[in-house]
Amino acid sequence: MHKYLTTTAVSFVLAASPALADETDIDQILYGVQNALNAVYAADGGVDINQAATNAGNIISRGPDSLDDIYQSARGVGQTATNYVNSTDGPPYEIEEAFDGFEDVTQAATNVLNSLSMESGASVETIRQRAGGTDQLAENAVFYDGDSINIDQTAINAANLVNAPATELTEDVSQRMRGGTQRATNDAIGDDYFDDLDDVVQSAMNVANSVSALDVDDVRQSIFRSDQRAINTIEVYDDLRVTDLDMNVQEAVNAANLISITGDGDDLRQLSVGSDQVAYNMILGPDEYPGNPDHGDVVEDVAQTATNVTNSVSGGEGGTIIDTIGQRSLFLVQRAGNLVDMGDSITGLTQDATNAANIAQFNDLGVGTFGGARQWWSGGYQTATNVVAFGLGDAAVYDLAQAATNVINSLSGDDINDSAPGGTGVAVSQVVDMSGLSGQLAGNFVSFGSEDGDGLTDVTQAATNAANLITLDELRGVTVQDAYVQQVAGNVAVPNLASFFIAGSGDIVNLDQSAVNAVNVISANELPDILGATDISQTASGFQLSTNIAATTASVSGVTQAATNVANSIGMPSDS
Amino acid sequence: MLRRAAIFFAVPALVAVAAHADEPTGAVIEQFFDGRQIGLNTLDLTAPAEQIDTTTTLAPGIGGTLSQDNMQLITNAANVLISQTTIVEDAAQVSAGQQEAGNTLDGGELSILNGSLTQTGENLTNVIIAERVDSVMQQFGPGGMQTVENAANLGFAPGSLTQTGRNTANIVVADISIGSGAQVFPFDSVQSIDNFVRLTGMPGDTPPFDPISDIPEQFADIAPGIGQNVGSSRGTIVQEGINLGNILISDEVRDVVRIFNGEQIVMNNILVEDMHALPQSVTQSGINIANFVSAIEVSGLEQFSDGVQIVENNVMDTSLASLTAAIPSYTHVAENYVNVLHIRNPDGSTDSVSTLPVTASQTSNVPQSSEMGSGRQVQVGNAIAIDR
Repeated sequence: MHKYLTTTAVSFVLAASPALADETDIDQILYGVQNALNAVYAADGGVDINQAATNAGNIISRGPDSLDDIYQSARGVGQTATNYVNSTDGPPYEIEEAFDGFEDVTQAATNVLNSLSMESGASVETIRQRAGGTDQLAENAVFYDGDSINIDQTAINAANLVNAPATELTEDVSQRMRGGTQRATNDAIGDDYFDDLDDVVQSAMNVANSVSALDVDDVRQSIFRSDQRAINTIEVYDDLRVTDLDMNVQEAVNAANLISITGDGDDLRQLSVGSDQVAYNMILGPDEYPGNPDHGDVVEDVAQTATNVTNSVSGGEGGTIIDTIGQRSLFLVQRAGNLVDMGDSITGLTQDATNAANIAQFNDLGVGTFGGARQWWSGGYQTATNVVAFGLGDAAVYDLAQAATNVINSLSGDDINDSAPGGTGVAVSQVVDMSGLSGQLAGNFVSFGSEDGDGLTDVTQAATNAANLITLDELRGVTVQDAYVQQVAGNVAVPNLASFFIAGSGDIVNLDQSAVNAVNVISANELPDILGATDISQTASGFQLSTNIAATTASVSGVTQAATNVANSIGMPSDS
Repeated sequence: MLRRAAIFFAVPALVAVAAHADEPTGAVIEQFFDGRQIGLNTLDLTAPAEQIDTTTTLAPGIGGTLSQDNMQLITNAANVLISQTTIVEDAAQVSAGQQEAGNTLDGGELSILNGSLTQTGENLTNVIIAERVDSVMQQFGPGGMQTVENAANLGFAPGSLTQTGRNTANIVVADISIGSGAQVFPFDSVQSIDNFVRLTGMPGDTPPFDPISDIPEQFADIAPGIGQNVGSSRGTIVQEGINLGNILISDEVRDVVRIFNGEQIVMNNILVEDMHALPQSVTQSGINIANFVSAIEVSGLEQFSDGVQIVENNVMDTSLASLTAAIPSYTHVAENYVNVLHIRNPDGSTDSVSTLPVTASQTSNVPQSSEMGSGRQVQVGNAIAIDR
């Protein structure tokens, strides 16, 4: 019965890799389609299945020697990496054949376009990476018909990568994606009420335009009308539990325009226009429980994390000094969500949904030829949502932590210093324009029934929206924050319909709800004091709604609801 | 789009200005807010009439119990500068928006507060805390609004129920001094606090159970209070409201003009629909303060007040008749202050204080009203208190 299966599909398009002279220019240009498919149909399930599907195009991997000018271009390239195992096509469940499930399945689907890796030291001059009309699809799927355990799925798409953490990039780096799509999905799907699932790890990740280096000169990153989707799905009609692992894990990440340096940078500019990021984790059960209410009733120990990031500058701890930062997001849509829609007993669930746009973290900003820090958001929206919902009257929830967070325009570090003598120009500007159908929504929702009188026990919900944040030791330079916001932060804990109208819902014990909206917040020990200038100007309009709702038809004990709205705040760091 | 991006990145080019030696004179800060902040907390224990499972509930719409400590907190803050070590050369704060804080408990009929419930709503706008403020302009309005509404709807409240509302608009606290400036609270700006408790007791004065033999668990603690036997411990209710407008606190205050033409309202009301639910102890407090200065030295202060201050405290039955006399322990405070100078004695200084000048002009035409008469009431207008 035990089978051992390993399938690997790899397609590579590589530049010729002869010995390269120290001063080498490389141009790589790719058109075409790459498919890597591993499919296993195993009607009786299987054990120890290992599948890896990889597509790679325009790859440069260099040892310790330097390179000159690099140009990598991919146009209209399609990459599809698929891993698939299926035991549901066999005969239906028979009592004699108790096992049509899978044990120890590892699936990795990977697509890479335009990648430069530097091993250590040395330097590179100009780098240009272009991805136009590229389509990357990485998908892993397990369809099981029987108790299954230990499913590990990883789906990754990456385009325009410079991975050179110990290398100096001495000239301009330019990365651009236009009309690209990246889809990373993991599915673990059961087909009937007799299939438990234990120990699942799903990771879906998309990355577009990433630079990791020691020192950089000028960096330009832009993403236009591109689409990133990272989606993990578990569908289980019976129980979802852990056996060997501490947690079942779903992790969905989209990242666009990342700069990570441990040394110094000159002029860093990031732009996103008309792009979408969707990160979603779902745990789904049967729509109804016909004749077998004992199944599909337990969900335990799950961590769901959904994250979207666009325009991020991150400095190392060694004291990063950056001259100028410009970050701009126009009509960017970020949706991060986690959903559990099954079970009538849920224990040990954490849900984190985070969206971040225009984030910069550094040591010092503006020591050289300071051009200012500019962060701009216009149009688009962020939604971060966590949902636990199911319809059974006897549903109860224990140990649930939900956190939904949206951040736009954040600067943090030690000092911002406008060293221009007597300069009264604007050194730091943060602008948020959420007019029209634009805004931030952070929401957590849980519904419940009554399991022997228990409804919700030990539940925390935190919903946070923030726009235009500055957190520093010293802020020296004229600072302008201008915002029109539409922020909604809400937490809801309510009975499900079955319990509300029929049986009654259970007690709420120890529920902590916090809803926060913040716009134009400066936290600094030293404020600017520049002769002849308005040092800080903050303007805020629009609306902020923070709300917490808790309801049950039974009793409550230890409920805390905190709703906070902050606009235009200048203060000292709370830890000083 | 690229072209737009290029324009955007070109804008930050710094304007070179003739170099000056960096002589810090203090920060210049502007804050403008004209949005709307809404904070709402809702706790709902009611059940629908459709819920008909009488094995777990007593009747349609019956409520549950609240035990342990339960809290509803709301904070709205706009235009806040808190930097105790900063010298402010000039600060301008304009808040023409709305701040709304609402806490609601809907316990339904026959619900019982056994533990505690705290409902707190706080609105803050135009706040400066600094070392020294040389020039300041704070304006709350036009059309500025701060409202706090705390509402609790319960059957019985044998535990502890506290409702607190605080509104603050235009306040400067400086260690050393506050120099020339203005605080404006115009006629269409409002600070309002509404604390409301409704105790329904037993509808129709009929227990839903036999009080002798069949007391449900949730009523066990207060069973002596049910029926004809009035229990001794039936809970504490505290309602507090304070509105602060145009406040200056520093050692020295000079050349400040303050205008209070708006409205400050505090309402604390308890409606007891069934005498079985009458609380044991009630404290109601409403305080309005407009144009207040606390300083050692004051000069060139001008205060104009043409606004309205109202405090209303009441405990009533369904006919709106007052029940305050029936409550074993009833305390209430209603205080309105407008145009008040508090001149402090310098800390640790016992001599030559009399040479410090106080020059101020005050004009007040504020209707100050408070309802209910058994507690402490204060109406103060155009007062100087000097502690020397």
